[in-house]
Amino acid sequence: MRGVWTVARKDLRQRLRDRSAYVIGIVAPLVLATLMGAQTLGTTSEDLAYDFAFVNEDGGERGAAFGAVLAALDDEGVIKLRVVDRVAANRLVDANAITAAIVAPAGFSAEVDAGQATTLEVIANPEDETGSQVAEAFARSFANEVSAVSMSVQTALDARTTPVDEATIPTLVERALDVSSPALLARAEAPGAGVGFAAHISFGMAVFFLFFTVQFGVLSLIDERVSGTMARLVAAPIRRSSILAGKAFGSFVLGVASVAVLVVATSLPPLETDWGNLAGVALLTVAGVLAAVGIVALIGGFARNSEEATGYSMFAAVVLGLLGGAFFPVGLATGTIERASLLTPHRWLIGGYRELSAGGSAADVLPAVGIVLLFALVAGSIGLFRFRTLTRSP
Amino acid sequence: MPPAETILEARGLTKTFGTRTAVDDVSFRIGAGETYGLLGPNGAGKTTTISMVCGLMDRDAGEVTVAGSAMGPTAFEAKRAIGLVPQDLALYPDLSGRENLAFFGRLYGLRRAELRRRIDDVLGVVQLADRAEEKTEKYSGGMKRRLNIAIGLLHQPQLLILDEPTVGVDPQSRNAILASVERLGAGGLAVLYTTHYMEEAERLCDRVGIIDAGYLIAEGTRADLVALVGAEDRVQLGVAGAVEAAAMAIGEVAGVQQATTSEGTIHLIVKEARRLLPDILARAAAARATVNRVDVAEPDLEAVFLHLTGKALRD
Repeated sequence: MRGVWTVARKDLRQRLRDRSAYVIGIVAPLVLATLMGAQTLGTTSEDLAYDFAFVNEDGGERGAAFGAVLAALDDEGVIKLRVVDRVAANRLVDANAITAAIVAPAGFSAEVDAGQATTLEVIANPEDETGSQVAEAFARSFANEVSAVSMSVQTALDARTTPVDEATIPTLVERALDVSSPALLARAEAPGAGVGFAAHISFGMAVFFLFFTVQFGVLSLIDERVSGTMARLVAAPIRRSSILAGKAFGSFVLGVASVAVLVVATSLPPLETDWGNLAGVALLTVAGVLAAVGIVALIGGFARNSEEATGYSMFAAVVLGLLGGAFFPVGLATGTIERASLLTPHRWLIGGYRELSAGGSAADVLPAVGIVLLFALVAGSIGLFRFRTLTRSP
Repeated sequence: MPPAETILEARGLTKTFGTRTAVDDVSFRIGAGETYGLLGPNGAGKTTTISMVCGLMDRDAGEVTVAGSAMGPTAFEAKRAIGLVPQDLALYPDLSGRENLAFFGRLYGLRRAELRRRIDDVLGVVQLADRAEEKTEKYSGGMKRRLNIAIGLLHQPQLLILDEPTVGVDPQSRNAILASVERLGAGGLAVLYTTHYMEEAERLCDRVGIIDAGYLIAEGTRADLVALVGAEDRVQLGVAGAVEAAAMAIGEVAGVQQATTSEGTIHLIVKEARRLLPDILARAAAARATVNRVDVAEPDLEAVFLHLTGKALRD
């Protein structure tokens, strides 16, 4: 232990004298979180909901059912819904007061029940293309759900509106289906839903920059070898494993300290992020720092010099951060990206912080902690194996 | 005559990198108070030998015993007995001289008052006490070299290993380093000193091992090694005019064992060059050659190396 502590203490002393360590570990994540979060301060997913109007000219069961689905989405805060007639709907769209209007035309139920082709109509707002596409996707998904019969969705697009990109429809439909199905209505209620973007970006930046902060200690092993000090360390009466452990411990302390400072700083105005249960935050943070140390060791272990190691690990940190939702809620992604995010510790860490922020307990985030520790174990074991060679031929 | 107490014994050290054998069956011993020089050109295997002695590098074959303890990766007693001064400046530039010393001292188990006392002692030895609080990035090359040595001395080792400690050092600092090593040797410390500078080996070392291409090709005191090439002196005459005729005439002088020529120079191997030189110059003049330069080299380690390997130390 003497060697571990001595090496870690020396590393920490060096890092604390390095101003860039403060910038990477504290200033940059705090500034970015504040800048990005400030644009949406006080907003929640409810504020970001689409504002739709529903026109039911049908009067039958099918039209009423669609109205009920939309009303349920309104209740969940996914959309804001107002039920109006066609004239009012057109007026609201023209006034850019709503995202879009969905019309169940007269005879809709009868035509569906008779197995005839029928049409749901979307009155699109040319000022809000995305919202109009979402409305169309909702209509399509309902059409798919209520009947296997071929049904078309006609979008009343203004001439100024860019035509809907067919390629984006499947994605939008998938999202609409997710939201309107009972199973995924539950997802809207999942812990973490409703956490504001400012809070999300606080978690995201803390995790994102953590992978840069821990680089200092782990990759300094390569610097020790280049500078010749590794020979002195190995010649000293301490175990070689103590050198590795000392480096890892130094990185661990830096990583934990960095996140701890960010927790405090982002809890204060203007971000005022609610991090929730502190025991849970501590558990997630420890697991996250271990995973970061392990992944950086894994990447650095394959590098031939410190420049290469720094480049590799920065690239990995950026890719993992983007994929894992450090810059935007990963729930906004779909398909492959969404599934790939599960392979990043960032996804689990940020998800855990969101869950705690929404009122979850430490026990609630234990699964996420376990998965992140698994990342740490696998990556760290390989990285440790690779780095051992540095101490064998200093 | 070797000292009674053996501090370092290396037997049959061998290290191979791929198909290249860097060190091949090297054996030597160093006694207490003895300064042993490992002399050889760059790439001869000196640093690899030291790395095996210090436990930095695994050996393919051979044994190392330091102060009675076998060397290995976890041979802490053996490691504690060694003070290593690597060829590289093994310092942390963002730490002060004192902080560098404190860090390495702690690795060797020094604590608090003892650590402070030892730091002050070695700073005095290398004359850096007044610059101890400065970051080493502000030190000159010579100061860094001296601090490098101080770290090796900090824990009072029984064997100090210096790997080419004067490489890239200005003459003044070099002289200061050599004087320090002389004092340490005189103080009873066993020293293993590697160099490719013949003058340093001659000045500092009680015994010298000559290493080339991984082999320890000769070992002994300076006198022992010089005896290997006999007592002949080497004389070079820069000549204009009848070079070949002059060489033939000089070759007939009693005591001149060999006379060869190359590009206006006559190379001679001579017994007692100082006594024969007037006769040699007279023969050259008689052969209508003008001598414009005379170099006399009495036997030294450079000559020994040349004799043993057929090449100069700096080749």
